[in-house]
Amino acid sequence: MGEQPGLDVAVCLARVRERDEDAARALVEHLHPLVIKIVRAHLPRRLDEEDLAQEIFMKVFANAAQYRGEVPFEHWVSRVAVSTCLDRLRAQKRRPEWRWADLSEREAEVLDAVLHNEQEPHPSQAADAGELVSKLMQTLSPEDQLVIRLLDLEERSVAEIAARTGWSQTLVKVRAFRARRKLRKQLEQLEKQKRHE
Amino acid sequence: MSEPKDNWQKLARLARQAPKPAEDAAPFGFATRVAARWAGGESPPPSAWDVLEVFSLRSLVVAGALMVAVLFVSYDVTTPGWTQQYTVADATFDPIFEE
Repeated sequence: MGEQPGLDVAVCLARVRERDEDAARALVEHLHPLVIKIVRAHLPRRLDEEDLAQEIFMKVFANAAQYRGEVPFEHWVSRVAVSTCLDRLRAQKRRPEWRWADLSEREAEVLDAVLHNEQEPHPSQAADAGELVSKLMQTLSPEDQLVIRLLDLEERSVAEIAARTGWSQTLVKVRAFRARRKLRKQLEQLEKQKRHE
Repeated sequence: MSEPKDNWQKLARLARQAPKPAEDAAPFGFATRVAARWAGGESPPPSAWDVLEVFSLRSLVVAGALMVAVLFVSYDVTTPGWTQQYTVADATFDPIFEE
């Protein structure tokens, strides 16, 4: 994980509030694995992950005084990271519409296997499936992308997602339901296009 | 349970097996760069929400100023004296039209 052994986050945070640069550096090193994981999961297209991670850390430091210790510091940082990623995703107004012809050969093979084989596809196709899922998710709103990634890909619980995003559990469930319906519709449309080819 | 027929869930199950990227430690110099930027007093770029907040406040001020200006310009229209003048005028012309 790259975590610093024995780093006392509370002490470090208190020093950051006193504008101690060494403490800030230690905190960045400690939190980097957590932040970069969120950034990679929600990275908008054409955006550098390091730039986005840097922006998140700047926000964390700028708002450090507002952290009251009601939730673990890592959860608070996660929320800052998630909301920054969502802001960036929202800034990308255009959402692509994928056609069968837009899929790579391997993505098309995976989709074909998923749509037409009764059995589960072979695990060797997992990486291509991951690419395909990322592509399909770009058609969703940033909030829907977030819910689907956490719920269906990272297998987080609804309660955990609610804690991470600040949304109610009902809202998480409603968003998941709508997003899955959109994704199923997408898959149906791709299948129709393939049949008409 | 209809899960095996759900193509999205089938695709998601397969995608979950994809190799995860390593959770790297910060690249060399990254933490130093971030800490230096922060210590240098650089603030993060404003979010869309912050920008919206600023514009909302400005539009509130502009709307307030416009309201005051409109009230000032149309003061005589809204005062009772204005309607009284027209009542007098009506009283003067009514007999002429009635003829």
